[in-house]
Amino acid sequence: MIAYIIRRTLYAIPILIGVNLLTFVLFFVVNSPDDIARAHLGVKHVTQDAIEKWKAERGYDKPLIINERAAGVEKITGTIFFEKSLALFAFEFGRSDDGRSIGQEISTRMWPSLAIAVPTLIIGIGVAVSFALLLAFFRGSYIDLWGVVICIIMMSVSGLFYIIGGQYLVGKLWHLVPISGYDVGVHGFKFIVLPVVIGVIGGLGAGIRLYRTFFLEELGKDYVRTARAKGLSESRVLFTHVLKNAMIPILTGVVVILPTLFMGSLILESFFGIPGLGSYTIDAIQAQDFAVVRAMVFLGSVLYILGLLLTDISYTLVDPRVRLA
Amino acid sequence: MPFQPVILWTDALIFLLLALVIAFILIARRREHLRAPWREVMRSKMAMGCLVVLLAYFTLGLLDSLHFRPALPSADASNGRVDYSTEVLSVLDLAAAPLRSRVEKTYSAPFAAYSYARETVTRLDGTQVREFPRLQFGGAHLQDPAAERGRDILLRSLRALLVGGIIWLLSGALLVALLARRANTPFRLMLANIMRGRTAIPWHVMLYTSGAMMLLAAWCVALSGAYHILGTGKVGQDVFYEAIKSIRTGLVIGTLTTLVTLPFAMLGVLAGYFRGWVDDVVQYVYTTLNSIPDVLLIAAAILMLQVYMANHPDQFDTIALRADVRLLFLCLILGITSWTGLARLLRGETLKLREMDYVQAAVALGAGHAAIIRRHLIPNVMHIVLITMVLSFSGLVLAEAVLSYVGVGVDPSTMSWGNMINSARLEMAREPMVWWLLLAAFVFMFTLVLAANLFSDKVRDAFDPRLRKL
Amino acid sequence: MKPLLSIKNLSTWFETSQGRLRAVDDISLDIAPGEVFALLGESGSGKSLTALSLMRLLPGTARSRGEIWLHDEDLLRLPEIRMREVRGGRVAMIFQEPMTSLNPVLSVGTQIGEALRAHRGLKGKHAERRAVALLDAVGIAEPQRRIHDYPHQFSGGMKQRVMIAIALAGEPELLIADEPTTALDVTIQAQILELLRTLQKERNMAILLITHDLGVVSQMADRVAVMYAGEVVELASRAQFLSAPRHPYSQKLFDSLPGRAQRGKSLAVIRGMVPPLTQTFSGCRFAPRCDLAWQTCRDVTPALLAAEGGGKVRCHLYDANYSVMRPAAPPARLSACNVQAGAAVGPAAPGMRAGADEVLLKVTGLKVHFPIRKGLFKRKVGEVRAVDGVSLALRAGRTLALVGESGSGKTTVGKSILRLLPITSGDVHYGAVDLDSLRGGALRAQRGALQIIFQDPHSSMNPRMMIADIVAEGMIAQGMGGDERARLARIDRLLEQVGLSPDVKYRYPHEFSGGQRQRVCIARALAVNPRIIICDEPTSALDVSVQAQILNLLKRLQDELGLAYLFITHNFAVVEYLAHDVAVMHQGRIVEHGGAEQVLSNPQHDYTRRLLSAVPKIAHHA
Repeated sequence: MIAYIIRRTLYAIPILIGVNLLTFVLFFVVNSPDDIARAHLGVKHVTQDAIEKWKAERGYDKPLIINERAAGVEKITGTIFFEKSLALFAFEFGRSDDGRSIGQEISTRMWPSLAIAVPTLIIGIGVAVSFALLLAFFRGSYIDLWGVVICIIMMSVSGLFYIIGGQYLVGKLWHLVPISGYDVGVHGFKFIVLPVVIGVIGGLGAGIRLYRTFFLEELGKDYVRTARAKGLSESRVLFTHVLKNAMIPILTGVVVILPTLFMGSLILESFFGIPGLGSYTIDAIQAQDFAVVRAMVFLGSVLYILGLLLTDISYTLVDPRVRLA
Repeated sequence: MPFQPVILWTDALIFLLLALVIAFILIARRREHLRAPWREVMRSKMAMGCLVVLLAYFTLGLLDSLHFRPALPSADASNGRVDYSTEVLSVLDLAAAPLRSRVEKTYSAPFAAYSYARETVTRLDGTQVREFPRLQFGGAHLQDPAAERGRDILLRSLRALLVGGIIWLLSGALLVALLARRANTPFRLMLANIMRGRTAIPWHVMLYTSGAMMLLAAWCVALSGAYHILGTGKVGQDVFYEAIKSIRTGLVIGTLTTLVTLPFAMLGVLAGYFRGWVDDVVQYVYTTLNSIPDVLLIAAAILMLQVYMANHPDQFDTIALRADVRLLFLCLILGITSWTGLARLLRGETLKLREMDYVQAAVALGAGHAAIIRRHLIPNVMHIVLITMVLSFSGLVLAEAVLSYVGVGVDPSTMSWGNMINSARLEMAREPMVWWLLLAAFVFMFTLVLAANLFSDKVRDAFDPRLRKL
Repeated sequence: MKPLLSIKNLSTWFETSQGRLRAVDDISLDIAPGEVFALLGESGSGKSLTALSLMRLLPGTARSRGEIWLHDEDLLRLPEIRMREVRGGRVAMIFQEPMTSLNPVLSVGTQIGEALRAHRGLKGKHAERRAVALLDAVGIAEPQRRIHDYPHQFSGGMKQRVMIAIALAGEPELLIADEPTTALDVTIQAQILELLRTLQKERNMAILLITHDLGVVSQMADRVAVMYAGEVVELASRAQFLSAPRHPYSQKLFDSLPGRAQRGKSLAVIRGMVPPLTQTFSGCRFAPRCDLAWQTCRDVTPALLAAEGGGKVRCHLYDANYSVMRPAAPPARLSACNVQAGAAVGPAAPGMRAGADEVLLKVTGLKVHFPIRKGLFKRKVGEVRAVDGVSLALRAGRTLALVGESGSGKTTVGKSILRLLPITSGDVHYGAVDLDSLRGGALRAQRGALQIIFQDPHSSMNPRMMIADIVAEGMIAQGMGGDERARLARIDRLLEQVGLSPDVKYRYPHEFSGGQRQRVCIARALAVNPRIIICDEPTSALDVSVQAQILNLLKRLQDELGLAYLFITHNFAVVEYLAHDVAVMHQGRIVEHGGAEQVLSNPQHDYTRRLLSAVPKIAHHA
């Protein structure tokens, strides 16, 4: 098991190198630091001095890959590639445009993100699985038919409208909870409720429909017929036999996104003013703060690969057929 | 010539896609195994009703994709030189010219005769008052809006519905007559069969859906001539016009993305067929791309495009071209984030197919790799491509809105539902609320996405044999 | 004696887009306590659906009508909650596919426990003790330990034993066994049948055995009902049925069985195919395929009437009211020499052509090992020795049967000779050509000489190609057949040669039955003028009557074209009928090799003897 995990972690290295090279090319090769500086400072009336100053402030004033002027190891280390790209492997994210340490920001901002994302995920799965089971139980009937149609209708509404509508109804019209803001501890609860509820509702349609197909697929299998031939009731067939098998794809599908929960939800956080990583990212994109975007790209990849690893491990826990080798 | 045709990148691709679809239909008509699942789709009432709605959207989108530059009234007609406007218009703009040109000063509510914002107006007697000024175009024909508006709207609506109804009856009769001729049955019998739902294809549902659409269209056309039926936006533009113009943007993103994706996704077939190092490379590439969160990859790419465009203004001389390149680039980058899913599906299916006896038999007969991929593999994975294409359409339309909100969507000058929502969001706090932009975007987007979702649900049922048994 | 189960006028049907499909049409049967009642029929005869109707386990789209009396309760009228007590309690059922019939994520103990709890009210320790006893009863070693294992830790035969243990948990009076051994190897089949027999005697339990296999019937059944097209056509005791089957269809089933007695002759076949059950029948359902039918058979529907010597039969030949109207010829059994039109077989013994002794294919020391790779750099940590040193020789015009159970490596031998799988070591010579050294274009050019026919007629043709394209594929690849016109003419000839009409060439594979598809596959192979055809279980997915057609065709083609067959099979009857030479494979090696007569009648190797003794023998009826 340990050996397997180590091996899988090694697999991740080439992928992270790929991500690293890709971001390097995107951020420094497609457009040179000069171009970026010019775009930032306004294209027309910008002096070369201003550009150099902008670059020096951010440490973009070095050569890209090889520093000819430096000597020894400095040839390699005194470059943008080394300082900005390779440093990511050591989780040294550098500073954002406003001069703050990105690493510091990440470690404080991930908690509000988790406070929204974790309950949203757990409640969302619970509700979706329950409704999906209900539809599977009544498969082929009008309950099932209209349930699916309602799911499709829910899926057809843009997530933005759930947020806007929820904020308008609950916050503005009924004054139940504040429209936006965040606080820690018990006081934070009132800020969390609405985003979580909206997050759950927004994902419900797709979730129910997906899980329903999982259940129906299992219901068509031979072992279900065996269970019925044993004289088990339909609900027992559904809740023990089918549910247990269908939970395998459901759980492993969830595990893969677990680590990325740290990243938070871009839209929810930004609409509700939650100071999490999602809103941090979106602000960085809108302010064209490339250092932050680059850091988040790398962090996202690391977390995704972690998710893949966890998925493999979780298979061994829920599926007796799978043994890691 | 009074105009100069302009073919934007996305126009060219749209017509390429259209040509592909038509070619596919012609081929599928002759092949039973392709026709059978479509026949199942065509027998579904839900799917055919949705198809009518989708066709209406696609027609508007296509009209909006025929671009041209109108000739300017030349100052010097004698030398025979014609100057063309720098403004790129579409056939749809031509049809909706009144909507495009009647711009108010700022916001106004649907069917309003007065502006949303107070203004300082100088009366004839020289006194200055702050009041809601009359709109320049919306309800301008009314003497006393408060008293006349309701009656006016009602009369115009009735007239419009009457006209719409007549058009519907005439076109419906034409359709029934055509069907009757083809089936060689009397008109009345055909009509009775259709109305009672006794035809294989649910023509009655299509007739009713198209009837509803025609009445609605007639009403919109009639009323939008005199009012801003969905209000006006911040700079006084007609929201109804904006919503209609957004259709093309949504369709381009929903369809071209998958078209751009296809060549990449086919790598999955190669990976599954050749295995070995080809498989390793393809898998590595898609795991790497997949590991970057989609929004961030799109954001990074679009930001870099912005920087590039800012630094190379000479390559993008017209606003239309800039916006179009950005739209195309967005499709491309969305495609790059989404091809991995399809490629993985295709790889998995190909791994299964290559072990099938008929592929083994082809190898034993001495068929080469190219022949096997072309004759045996690609035709047998096309249904997956089709299902993915249809299913991802609505997701992409929705994604456009979110991306535009984040600021990495289409160009701000491109009309799109995302941009409409984004601009409305900034006015959320205003009292009274500016709700009509949201409403317009919601209605147009929801209708398209819902129709596409319901349609794709049926397509998947028909093409995916796994779920056919229940 | 009062019957245990009495089926009266049971009908089961589906509504389809082609109309009502009557899968089971008005059947009546009685099963006595403690007897083994076999329901025999080919695919599509309705035998499995009859069983599912009894258990009320039909798919949601099916409907049933009639009466099913278990003692004095009508199962079709029981409320669902009472029916659950019957299912797994008084009536239990086991299925054909033990591989998929157990829930993969529950331990076998849990799965037995569920049945014990539902029908015996046992829980906890008591249930576990009982489950262990049941596993022991079905012959699973170390039941104490195995009870916590999951289904994937058991082999196919073991899984079927677990299934039987689950079925026994409710102490049923009737066990329905739906093709319980069809998916299993012949030696395992013998064990499972033996187990069922023992359990049935010990517990005085009735068994409704559903099967297509006359051998199984002969070994197990007390009484037999033969189903055809949704109807019972004959009902008889085993002795009666085996010694003198009465319905022409039953007779044909026996006659189409290959075997040693039929060597050199062509097999009797049933022409045509099972009629679609969506039509309304008038007259006898078998009449269009019956050699003995006359006008009455097509006009008047026969009833299932008591026949002389016990039992019942649904045929006008045995109905005095009609049989007198038959024009000429007595109602005798048809001789086995009846030959399908157009399938004339020369009287000459096979292999007598000139140059017959030429060795076409010589395989020496063939090894095919599949590496097991692990770790970061996929280093090899072991290998599966699928084929481990096989040598054989194949002569022109001869058939070499490669016999073995699943996993013995016989298919791997076939595919690696064709270079569809990589050869690890060894030598494969086709004439003077060293096949294992050829690469790329040279290999492709050589491929015409050796062809293959597969087992599964459904996956052996690309569903998206027309028959003409399928047959033409090899000609195009080999650059044969000249221009388009010449090629089409050749396709017509090939289709005729395999007994199909040339008109079929513009149709798609899904329009054909299994036997017809197998004919197209043969045509596809013949198109490139092969000298050797590797037949990989070409008839094991087919019904016995269709199998006879294909075997006849293969035999005729061998005689006409001097083809050599490497015939891969697990079916000894086919070997006895067809093979000149036999090689028995076990665990990647050939354990015995020789002339067919010698190997089959005087087996030397222990494994061969074990295999042969496991084959169910049909007490001959002549």
